[in-house]
Amino acid sequence: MNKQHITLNINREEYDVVVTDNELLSNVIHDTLGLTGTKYGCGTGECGACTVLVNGDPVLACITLVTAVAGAEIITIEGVAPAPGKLDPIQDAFLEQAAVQCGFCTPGMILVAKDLLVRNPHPTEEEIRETIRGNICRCTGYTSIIRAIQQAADPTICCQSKP
Amino acid sequence: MSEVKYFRPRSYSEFTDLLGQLPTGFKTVAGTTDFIPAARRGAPYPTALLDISKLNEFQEIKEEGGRILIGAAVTMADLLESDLIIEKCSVLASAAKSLGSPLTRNRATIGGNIANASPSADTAPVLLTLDADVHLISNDGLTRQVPLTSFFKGYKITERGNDEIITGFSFTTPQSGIWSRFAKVGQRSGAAISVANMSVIIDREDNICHDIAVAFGAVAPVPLRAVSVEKAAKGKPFDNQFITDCCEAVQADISPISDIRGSADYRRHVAANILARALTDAFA
Repeated sequence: MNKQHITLNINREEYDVVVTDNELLSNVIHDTLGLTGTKYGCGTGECGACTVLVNGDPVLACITLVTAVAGAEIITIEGVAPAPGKLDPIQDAFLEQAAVQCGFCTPGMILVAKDLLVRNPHPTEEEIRETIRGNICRCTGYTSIIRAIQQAADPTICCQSKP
Repeated sequence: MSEVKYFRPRSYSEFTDLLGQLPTGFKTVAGTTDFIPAARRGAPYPTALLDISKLNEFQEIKEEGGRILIGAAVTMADLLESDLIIEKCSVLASAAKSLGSPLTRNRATIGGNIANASPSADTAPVLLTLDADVHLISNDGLTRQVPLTSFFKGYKITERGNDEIITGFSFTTPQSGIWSRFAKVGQRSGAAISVANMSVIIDREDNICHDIAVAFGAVAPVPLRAVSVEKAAKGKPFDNQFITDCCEAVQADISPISDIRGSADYRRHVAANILARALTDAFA
């Protein structure tokens, strides 16, 4: 098997890894580097559980060759929070709105929401629904996820929805 | 998976240097959104991969001398955000927007959509109605252009030789004032593979259909121009008979099969319906 040495920039840190030429980004992130927040779901790009940000764009790591993203800036769910022990406002909102049940879709959901709010800080509900189209959740029915993204965009929603 | 060599040229000169040296049986990839799922389903793995996704030359969308040029590695996200495409060729932007999920669209390229030659490829009917040419370069450096209308040869078989790489597409900039639509029927609204899709471009004035281009996908072994519909519509005034004639004609153009996404019967119905709706809206 053809192996090569590449450098990956993940969560603002450089990782030197030895990979085979046809290795998948999801395998390297999850298995080689042990960043287990990135989930392996369908393996065919349908479910969105393996979503990571590559140069800011949400990308499906399970159908991306790792060699294709050498040198790119990759952010996984572990790199979303601003500092250790802190959470990103989107993560806080997911907790507040109970938008996490089994949690398998959550990293992908948060990363596509992150990209959306960077591009569009005040999205409509329709824009949020469009954004999470490629991310499947079998627990929540999506409503709490949409509410969480709305809350992250506009924290006043949180207070309104609380009893 | 067996041994595979991976080539990722970072500049056009690196790319041309590689030509002639690519091993027999190499496969060109970019977004890998079709390639990896196919490999996982057991498709034979190539001896080498040529990744053209990092070549600036293949990522360009530009207009030159009255023609729009789109590089093979332009993604669906690029197309639907391009001012040039939105302004001058919005039908291609709407096809790009209908393909897959936002995640897929960030990586899936127009070159891959056409090279893969799936009957349901969403950009194919649009490029067919635009009379696009496919630009090819072979491993020995020879270039040629093939009209897309003669590119699809059979189910997932194309005019592209095994040693040829799609470098991009070009077509005459559509004139302003034309009416166009991309329509797609899927099993659900998000991230669905087309059960039937269609692109229509009409040049009409008052009630007369001066010129029309119609193409369908997922209703035959290949995406195709609906030549009988075009013949039935060209030069005719719009009325109920016009719609009836066009919807009858489309049945001669298409040859759908039944599969997991829909029956042949349903595809015949739905193809006629999306055509009738488009024609009605065009002359509304």
